[in-house]
Amino acid sequence: MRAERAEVLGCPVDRLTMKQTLLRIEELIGQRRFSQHVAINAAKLVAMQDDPELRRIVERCEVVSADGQSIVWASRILGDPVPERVAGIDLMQQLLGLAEQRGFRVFVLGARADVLERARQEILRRHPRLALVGVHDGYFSDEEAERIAGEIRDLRPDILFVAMPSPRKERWIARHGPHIDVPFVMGVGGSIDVIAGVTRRAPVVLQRLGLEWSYRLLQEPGRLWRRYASTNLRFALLILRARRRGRDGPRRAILRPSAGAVIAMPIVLARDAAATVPEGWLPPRDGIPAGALDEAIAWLCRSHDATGRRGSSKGFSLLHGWLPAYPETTGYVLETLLAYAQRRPDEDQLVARAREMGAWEVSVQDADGGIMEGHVRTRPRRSIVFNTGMVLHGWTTLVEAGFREFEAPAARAARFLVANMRADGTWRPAVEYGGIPHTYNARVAWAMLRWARHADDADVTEAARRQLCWTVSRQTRNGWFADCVFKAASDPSTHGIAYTMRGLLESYAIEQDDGWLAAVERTAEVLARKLELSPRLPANFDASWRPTSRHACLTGTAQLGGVWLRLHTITGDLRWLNAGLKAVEQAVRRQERLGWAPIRGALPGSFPTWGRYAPLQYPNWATRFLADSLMLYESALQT
Amino acid sequence: MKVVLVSRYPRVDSMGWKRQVAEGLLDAGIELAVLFSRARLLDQARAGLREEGAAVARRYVALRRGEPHGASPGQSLASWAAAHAVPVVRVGSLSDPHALDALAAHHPDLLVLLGADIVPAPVLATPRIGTINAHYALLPAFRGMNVTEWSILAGAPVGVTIHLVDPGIDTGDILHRETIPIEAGDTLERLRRKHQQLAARLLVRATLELRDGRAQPTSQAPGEGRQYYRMHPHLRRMTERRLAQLAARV
Repeated sequence: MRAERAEVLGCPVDRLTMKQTLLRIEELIGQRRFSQHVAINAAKLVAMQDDPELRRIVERCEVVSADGQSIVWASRILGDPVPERVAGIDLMQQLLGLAEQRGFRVFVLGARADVLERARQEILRRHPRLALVGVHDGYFSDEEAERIAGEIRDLRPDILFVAMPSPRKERWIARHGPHIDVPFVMGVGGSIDVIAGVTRRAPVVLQRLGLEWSYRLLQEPGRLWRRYASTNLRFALLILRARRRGRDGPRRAILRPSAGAVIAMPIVLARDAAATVPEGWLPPRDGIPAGALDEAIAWLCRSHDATGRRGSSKGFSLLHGWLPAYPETTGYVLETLLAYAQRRPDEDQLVARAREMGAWEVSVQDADGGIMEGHVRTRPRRSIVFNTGMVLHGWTTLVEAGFREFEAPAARAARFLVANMRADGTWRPAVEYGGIPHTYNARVAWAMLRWARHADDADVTEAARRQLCWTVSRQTRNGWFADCVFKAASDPSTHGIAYTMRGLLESYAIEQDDGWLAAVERTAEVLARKLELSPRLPANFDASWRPTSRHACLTGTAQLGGVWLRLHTITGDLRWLNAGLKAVEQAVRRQERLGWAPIRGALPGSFPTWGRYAPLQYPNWATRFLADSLMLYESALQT
Repeated sequence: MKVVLVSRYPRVDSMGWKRQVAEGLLDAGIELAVLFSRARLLDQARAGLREEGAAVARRYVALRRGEPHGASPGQSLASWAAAHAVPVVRVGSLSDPHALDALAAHHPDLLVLLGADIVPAPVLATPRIGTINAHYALLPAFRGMNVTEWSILAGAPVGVTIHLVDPGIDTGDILHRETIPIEAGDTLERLRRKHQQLAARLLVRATLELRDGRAQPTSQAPGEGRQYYRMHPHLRRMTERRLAQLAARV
């Protein structure tokens, strides 16, 4: 049966037509075990996103049908279609007919006494031979509930229609359903009102168009407009997001735009739309706006405050507000705070923050020594290589700054990385993001080399070298990296490429392996040309270095700026200084200047902000890499 | 021998160096034609703004007022061609099929690039002998853009290279290379004028050598030299300081 269920926004829906649903119900009645039906509409689907109790109830139901036309459409849009709408009211009418034919005993519970009486007469008028064994209105106390349940049990109905509002209906069924020996229970909501003639159904045209709700809205505009507006908007947004992520994507966060975001979003979108026009027309502006670095650091502090000073928030989303604490990037955000504190000695509170972040990372470290995938609420929870490496960076920096309490957790993280590595320099799929190897783990190898140097651990060094040699082996002759992606069958982004390059480059600075530097320069050469070719460095490139996106991945641009500036420091080649200054300037021009605290000073994921990389979001790592590169920029100008 | 001069239009020929090339070739008895590629006005404006910012507008205004611009304003190549009855072909872009037809109709032996855009391969295949270009740095070391500046910043000698054009960027065989000594009082602007004068002279010489079969092209080894891009203002300031030191030393 399960295989015949579609999934719409995380909710199971039977792939059954009306006819098949009736056959299925007949079969269930024949089995004489308790079973339940639920009809899903947009409102219930939206409510399920926030209400795990409701979700569990729905998942337990033996029959789940698409009550609204919008559910059928959503299932089609999301690529897991259900055949047709099986509206609750239609199903009830059909079931009454079936019951009359087959001699099933029917009981109706709920609604106001007078409405119920009219409905009873109407039902019997239409189905004169129906065994309607009893009815009871929905206005009874909890003490009476027990008695009524007993009464129903004694009447031995085959079908029980429950016309009470949610969630009272669900609670009543959950509590009494299994004990009353009724093989089929169905919630019918407002259907009794329709049968009694109290309310009328929308014209068939509106039903077909999925606009039945609009008819109800016209009947009771004052009570319903707010609910419909918010439900429909959220429903549409949920579908859009689910479609963008694909069905295997992570569970959606709760959509909760704040009042500030509702104001900021149109401004940000309009500004970016306007900013794309003169891009090709103006000479690139050089220099860094005053206070850019300070603003970026201040935002990183706010991302820490946003989680109650645990980790740094994954970022700020214009749709969802502050996101949960993010172990991976908090690992390196703390390094940036420490580096900034060294430049601005009056900022000691930053050292305290960095230490708090480090301590929080210790509190989320798993028993195996690794660091979990995703954000703190991601389930199932498992340790993965990259996050462990990024936190190892942070702890190593803290240890180097004199905080010895991070030595033990860092050593455990390093052991996790060595223990899970395979002979070819890749890690076991079980500890890899997406179960595939990644060349950007060169950034993990760099962390391992740093730690190995501190701890004088030859095993860690050896494992890191194996990873780096594998990464170099994945570089093609034109300087492109295979396996440099988060998900299989996608094109590498500047973000992932820069991770790989920086890992190799800094590893070269520690171990002096010329092959690693040569690999970095090969890629740096190509990307320096790409930086010249258009006013906005594209986010993704295919294996022949053709850009496959129009938006810029701003964190990637900022990171590459840092890679070029470091390349200049290491090799002395002024061409790298040239590219580095330009890339950092390109990124900093997109730093948020709007005065609203949750975004001011942050770098968006993409330019334009609606681009595919972290759309409408300010991920904490983007701002972190901007701050990091701005510090390198400052140093470069001083020499 | 029929030579087609290829230039963007209208670009300000402030130093008259393009005209000098034309005159030199005409004096040597070479049959000439001029091909102007003229991008759409919008594209011109866009390119101009991107390259020079507001300065391009100022320059344009100065030109319209007939103000002298540079040391020896001189005629433009277009008016010179008109005065000397040299045929002129105007095309949109060098990539237009129309441009290729117009060029082929002249059956050129040689194309001489005088500040042209990147030339597409089908155009390069049209002339019998080939296409030559003047590059404002010594190849093979400095390929690409702002190479005079890059040479100074790297402490390398500056100069002009005349080379045959192949589909790569500044990778074709070298015909002539001559360094320019840095003299007291040299600035980037003055050096640019010296490069133009030298380029004009060497382009005429290389053309005549190619006509007479005396040219000795030497190929560039792949992997020699590096590609340079438009210089960031910070590096340009470094270059200017470095040039001032060099010029003060002589």
